[in-house]
Amino acid sequence: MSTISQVAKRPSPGTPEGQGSSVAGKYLTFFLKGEEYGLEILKVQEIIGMMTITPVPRMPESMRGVINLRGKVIPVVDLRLKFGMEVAEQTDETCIIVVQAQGMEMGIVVDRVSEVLDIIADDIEDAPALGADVDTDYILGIGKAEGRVRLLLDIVKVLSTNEVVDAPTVSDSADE
Amino acid sequence: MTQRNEWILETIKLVSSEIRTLGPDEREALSDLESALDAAEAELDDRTSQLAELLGLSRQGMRALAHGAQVDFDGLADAILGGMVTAEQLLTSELDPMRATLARLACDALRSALPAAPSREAREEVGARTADVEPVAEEEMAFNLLPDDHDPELMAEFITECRDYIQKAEVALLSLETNPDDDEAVNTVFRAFHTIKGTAGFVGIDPVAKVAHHAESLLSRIRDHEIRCTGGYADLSLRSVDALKDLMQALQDALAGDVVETPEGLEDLLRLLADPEAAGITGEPSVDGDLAVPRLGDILVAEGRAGRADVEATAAGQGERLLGEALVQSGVASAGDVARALRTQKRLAADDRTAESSVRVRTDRLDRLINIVGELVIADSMVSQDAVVISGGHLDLVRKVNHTSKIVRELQDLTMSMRMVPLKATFQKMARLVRDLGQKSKKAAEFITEGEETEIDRNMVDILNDPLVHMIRNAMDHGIEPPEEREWLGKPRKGSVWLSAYYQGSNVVVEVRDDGRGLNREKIVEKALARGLIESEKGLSDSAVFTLIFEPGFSTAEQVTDISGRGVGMDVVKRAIDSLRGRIEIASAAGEGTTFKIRLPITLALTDGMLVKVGRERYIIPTLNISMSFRPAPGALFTVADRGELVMFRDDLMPIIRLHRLFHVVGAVEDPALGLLVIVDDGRNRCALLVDELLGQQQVVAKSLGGSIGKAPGISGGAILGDGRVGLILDPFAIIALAGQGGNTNERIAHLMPA
Repeated sequence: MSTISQVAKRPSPGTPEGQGSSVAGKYLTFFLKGEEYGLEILKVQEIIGMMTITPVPRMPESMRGVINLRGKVIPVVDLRLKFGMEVAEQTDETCIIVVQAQGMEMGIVVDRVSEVLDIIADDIEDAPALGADVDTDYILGIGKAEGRVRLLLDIVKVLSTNEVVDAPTVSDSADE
Repeated sequence: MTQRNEWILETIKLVSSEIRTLGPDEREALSDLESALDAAEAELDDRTSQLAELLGLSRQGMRALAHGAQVDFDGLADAILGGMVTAEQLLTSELDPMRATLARLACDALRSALPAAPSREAREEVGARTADVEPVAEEEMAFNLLPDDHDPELMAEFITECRDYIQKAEVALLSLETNPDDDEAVNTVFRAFHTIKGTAGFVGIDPVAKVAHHAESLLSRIRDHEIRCTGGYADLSLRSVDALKDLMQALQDALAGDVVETPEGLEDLLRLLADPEAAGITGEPSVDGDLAVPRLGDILVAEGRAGRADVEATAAGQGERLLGEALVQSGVASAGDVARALRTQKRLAADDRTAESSVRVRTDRLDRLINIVGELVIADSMVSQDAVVISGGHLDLVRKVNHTSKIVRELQDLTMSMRMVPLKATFQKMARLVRDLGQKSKKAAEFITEGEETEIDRNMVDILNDPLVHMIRNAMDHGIEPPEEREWLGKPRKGSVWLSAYYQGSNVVVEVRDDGRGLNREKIVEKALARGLIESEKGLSDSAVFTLIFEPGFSTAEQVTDISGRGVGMDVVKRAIDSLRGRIEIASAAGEGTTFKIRLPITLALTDGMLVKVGRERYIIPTLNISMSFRPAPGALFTVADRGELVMFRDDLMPIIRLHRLFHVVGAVEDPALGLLVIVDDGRNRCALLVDELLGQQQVVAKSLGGSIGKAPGISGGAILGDGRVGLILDPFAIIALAGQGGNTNERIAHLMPA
């Protein structure tokens, strides 16, 4: 296990107050299938390199399994599968972001971690309605800093909502 | 302890025991006590200590009492008594902040009692006794348990300490049940109430002090042989203990910030305690004589080893010699008989003098320690199984690694033993239960415990408590017949309930047995048919029928009593045992009684597991659930159309569950004749799990899978394996249910079998 970077959990002092400020702040950005996403830095505990994941049977496909994080057993979710994308081949840059949400630790597999970015309220737009097919509940907003567009995720909602693509249910995979 | 200190202690004890029995008009005796205290004070090494201050103040108080100064006699006497108790504690134990505070409080109480102004405690005392005057005292009684200026830490200490005493008192009271004349036990109870009263007074918890005070008065009458600790008096004492327990709980709740109400019946109890006879409570005298520990001679006579006249004669002429010695020399009894009698006497007189010195540690710290040690063990096995170490080329390294491993093992054993507690306390609670139930249901039952020194994980003790209560209730209510019926059946009038514990392999077995009616197979079958739990009783073994009583809402009791029979209970038992990863078996014979056998792992922290391979995956099956594993001969396999696969093993037919299919594992062995079948059973259902091979037995630290994944079907948790990867622990019962083999396997098989 290699710890690429350990991210300090300190609130950013320069968070502007006022409208839309609830989503402004520091974000850890990462890539999934060429698209860039952002994740509130306060929710991130650490970033670790890819390691062997023990699959847990009869779980939704996006639930890749569990890993041993220094003696703790934590579940790992593949964000690509969660969003209904195809599985990516594992590369040197594939890594697991360990997030801490609602007292639970959880790992999320992403293609590549990019940077830590301070996004001010002016650079954030509300999540657009993308039609009935796309659930935008877990999108905090869209960051447009530095001329690039990043989807800012509410990771707690992402992890607690069901699959975008239905996973095999217990009943249809029963024996025989 | 130095001789000098021992002497001081003796004096203090003497003063404590005398002061409450002396009245204001016994000046002379009071003066004697005063001079005794004076002498004790003079013997003290360190004149500046708190002890010296206490003794000094007590002596002044004693003088005031002896010379009839204008003081509130009872108040001052109580304050002195409190001082004495604290002084005793100071002398016999190490000075810690708690004792120091108590000593300071005792000094304050004494000081305020001295100059004619009655202390707070004394004032309350007066209020309680005359139950009029001071409305302030009444108001205090209105439930504001905690004083406004309480120190939470001191309170917590106080609660823990009181609970200790309460438990001791309970044990002693129970031993008084069998031997109401055990003075030592009476004293233990008395001391417990007394100390609780004293401490409660200091920390200002008036209701506790009040109950303890009145209970103490009752006990002092017992101690003085005015009344005996039997019947109503014994009940009253036990009720006081219960009330104190409730108060402790209320206190703890209050400390946690909850609003508490007066525990029910407190007023009633206080009234009863104040004047038991007025409420018609008697000791319903059973046996004559008010001997304490039976005398040696009596034991010999009772056992028929010697004649009473001979013993009396020897006793009269024993002179300086000990009676036993005299008896042997004069040939009245043989040395062996005397030795045996002495042992009996000692056993009767024994109480828990085996106090071990101990330190209280918070359980969460202990749990963390155990967790970390668990990790250390795994880390250690990762090192010792490392390719470099096992390659064999580095002898020196191997030696060092082995040495480390040995130390780690030892550390593990030690930490595990730290959270082991004997079952004794649990068993004692059950003794109390049997006694109460026996009285309620008018059935006499003897309660016999064995192996109460058997130790299990302290986290399990609390969970084990409920199932035991249910089983013993059942034994008392449904098992044991009323005395008349027993007599008619030719059984002894008094029923027996056994509770025993012992080690078996790496398990602890707890057995509850009664010699009552036994389970009624017909009635259970009838009920199960009516409730649709089974379709027919064909092919059902006795034990399979008996396990039906663990179904929720199953009760064959003809009538609901206030003890049991509402149909809840046995399913609770089953659930609790399951949560302890244990198993329960029932054996019963009509008319002879029922035995419940609970098999439990010694600790929940470690799981004994069998590591199995299925394709590329490895799973851990708890060893406790495995009855055996084998490779089936091709001829032993059957498939029944649409009913799945079966295997015949030792004339037993059971369904096969293909783990690889259930868990969607690719690359696993598909032919049972090439793989291995692991038989798991939960008492009712037997199934064979198909795996590739067994990789070995291993102790693992079970962990939850964390987060939303916590409820993975068929998986009870995870564990870190030797190579650092996570292995999943299987839950065989859930797997059986998952594979659709739930319901009654035997019955399904019965359907499948050719008629």
